[in-house]
Amino acid sequence: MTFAHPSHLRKKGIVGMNARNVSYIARYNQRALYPLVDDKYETKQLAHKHGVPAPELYGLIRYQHQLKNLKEILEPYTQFVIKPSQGSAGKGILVIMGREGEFFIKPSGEKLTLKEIQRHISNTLSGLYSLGGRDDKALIEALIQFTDAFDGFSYQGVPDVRVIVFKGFPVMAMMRLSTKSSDGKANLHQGAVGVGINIVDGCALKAVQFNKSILAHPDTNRTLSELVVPHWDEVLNLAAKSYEMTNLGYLGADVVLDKNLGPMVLELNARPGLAIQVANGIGLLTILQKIEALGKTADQMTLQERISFSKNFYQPA
Amino acid sequence: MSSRFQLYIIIGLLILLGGIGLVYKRVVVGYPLLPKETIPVWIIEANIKFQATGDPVKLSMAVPGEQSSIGLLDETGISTEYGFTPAEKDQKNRLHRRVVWAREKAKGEQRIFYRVIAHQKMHVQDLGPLVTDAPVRDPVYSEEPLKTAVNVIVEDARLHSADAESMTSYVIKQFIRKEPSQNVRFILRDKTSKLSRAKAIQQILLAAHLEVHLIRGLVLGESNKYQKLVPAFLVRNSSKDWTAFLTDKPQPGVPDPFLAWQRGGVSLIDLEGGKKATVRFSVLRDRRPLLSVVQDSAKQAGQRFASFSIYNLPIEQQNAFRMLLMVPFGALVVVVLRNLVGIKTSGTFMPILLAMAFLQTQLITGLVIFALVIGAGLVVRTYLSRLDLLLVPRISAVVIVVIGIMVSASIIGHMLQLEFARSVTLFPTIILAWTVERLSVLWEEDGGREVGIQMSGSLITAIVCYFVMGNFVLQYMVFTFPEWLFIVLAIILLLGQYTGYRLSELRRFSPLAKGEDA
Repeated sequence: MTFAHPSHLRKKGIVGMNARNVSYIARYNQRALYPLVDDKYETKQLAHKHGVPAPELYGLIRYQHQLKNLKEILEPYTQFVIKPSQGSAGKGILVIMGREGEFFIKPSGEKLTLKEIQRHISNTLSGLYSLGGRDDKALIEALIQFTDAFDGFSYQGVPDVRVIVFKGFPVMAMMRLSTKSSDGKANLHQGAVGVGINIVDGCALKAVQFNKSILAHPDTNRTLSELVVPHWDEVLNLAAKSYEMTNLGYLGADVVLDKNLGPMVLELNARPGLAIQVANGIGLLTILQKIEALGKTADQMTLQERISFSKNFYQPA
Repeated sequence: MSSRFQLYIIIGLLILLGGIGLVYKRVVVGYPLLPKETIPVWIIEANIKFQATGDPVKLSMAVPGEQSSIGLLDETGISTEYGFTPAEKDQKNRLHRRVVWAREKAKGEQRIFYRVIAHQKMHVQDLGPLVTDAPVRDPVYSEEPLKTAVNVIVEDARLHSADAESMTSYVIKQFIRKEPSQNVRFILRDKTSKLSRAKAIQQILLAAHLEVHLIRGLVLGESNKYQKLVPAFLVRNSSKDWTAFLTDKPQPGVPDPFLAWQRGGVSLIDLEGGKKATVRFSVLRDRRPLLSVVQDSAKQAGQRFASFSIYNLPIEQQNAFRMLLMVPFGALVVVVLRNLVGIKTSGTFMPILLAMAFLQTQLITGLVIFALVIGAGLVVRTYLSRLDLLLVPRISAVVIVVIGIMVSASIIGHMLQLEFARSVTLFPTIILAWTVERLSVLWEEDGGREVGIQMSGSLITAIVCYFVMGNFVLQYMVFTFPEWLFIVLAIILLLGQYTGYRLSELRRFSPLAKGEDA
């Protein structure tokens, strides 16, 4: 067990949970705006309004009785994702990679019946996966056909880019690669690999799994330093735009790269985690304070100006 | 005004409010800060003996009232055959309180006991002006030949003194000299008892136009089986206040603590239907818990709103609050463990409820029962999850299953004569059911590792809460001084502003700090 001295962390500009909650989330994210990102259906509509690409919505299930029609709704699709509209931390996301007769196949190869999917949606509607157990909606959306650029970097699941956006400035980014132990999910605490990405060019910096540095993907053994995010400027653009979309001052934008459709906003998060600092090997505090110091000028900067500001400032460890 | 500034003002106010409340209750009302604090009390017994003549008997005795530095508790007039009328407690008559014993008929030696418990007050209390009749001059002293003797002594005292106190002091000196003057000797010629001498001195002082009361009291010290009432003067001094003198000491002041038993001209004992009444005082020094003394004295004085205290509530309500008042401390523990240490718990306040159950079952028993119920619940819940149930019905089913497990544990425990199984009912059923539900979902979603982390976090927090909330001293303190809640609230608000690292983060981010050295 190694413990860092608080002063070392402070020197490195590491933002802790408490500082994130009090100094950034509470100060820059208005409560009233939370539903925009906590409810993925709202986010999707907002993205549509602002011309931000997002995965196509196949269907929306609001009421239990709609489950009777589930077979018909799913009929045209072999691959899809079912999500609770207000889920958190990746809870309740069901990915279907294909079909085999009556069965639906999960990324792990597990076979599900229609009944099991109905039960999953039923649970979703009654609020099992949503924050505070509220009644929820279930989204059925297109499965991302992820780009070949990430071949071998991910074990199943959709690798996504998490960008922390502060007052519209993309300040830090990481790729989240699912692994066998994360069951195709991209959450770091479930065992996904986090790869720090250089804001300047989209190249990998370093990688961590379970809070420890790694060099290669645990399942595919691919060297992670070779990872480069294609369409990087487009990714930054989308992420930065999410500030205009939501007015949330401190958010995490999850961007996925589709083979055919390019970068898309998968979801936004008003309480992005702090593991991104470990993946990048640097703290967030320095740049956050730099942007805070801009004061009113920051509000007048255009999207492109903000992105170049971040790029100029970014100094990887 | 920034919100942070407002918060600091609120925190400051809360601490101030709590602090003032604490100090007030401690210093003014006198509640002890710690449960074991005791103070000395004196159990004073007046043992009255007389010969009844065979007629109806009525005996009244002067008894002490509440005094500025001595409080009284629990007075009783013990005697089997006599009807006892306690003294009134109203403020006006506190100087001339009398208790009365009566019996239809009695003959022969009679014994009556009066008992009162005295304690020194935490601070001298102003009881308002002394309302009492002016002392009466004995006409004997204004007739010759005593008149001349008195006048000579008064004139002499006038020459040698400046005010009431110095005159009193001078006159007493004249009476206690080894070789008193002729006039003094003449006045004292037939006075043998201490009391009669004191009365004579009082008459001299009255002749000098001083306002002098003769009182008699007990000097409270160590235990003493035969204690005498000590006479003393209260002299109105130049600042219209009263100065006390012992009747045989020229220096002002009486031994402390001094319990004035009898005041004014009235007799100590009035007896009808009897003779040869004597009173013997015995004093027993003892120690009592400060808390009970403070409560009793408030009761004695009939102060209903003596203080803002839970002790004023009916007992059942008091018991309800006993546990409730500990919840804020549990919350404080949760805040500290979550925000400063960084322990993950399943459900924010589940550990507090768990701790409350543990407090009633004892820790080990509680942990065993908890493990049994949760374990069995998880097994059943895993099966339920295959049955396609909606959320609310499923949780309701889990609630029923949990109750079923609790009932069977109780019955089996009873049959096997396992004592601990009895306390199974003390667990909050709904909380257990929710815990089962959450853990099972957590298991499906995040795997057993996360379940382990959250469960051990919850249990560690619950155990810490158990020790904090079960702390007897803390329970006493918050129960006696609910003002602590203001201070706990202030601390929690202050912690709400804490932006530093959590202990767990020092470990989590340690790879980043290592980069520093490289």
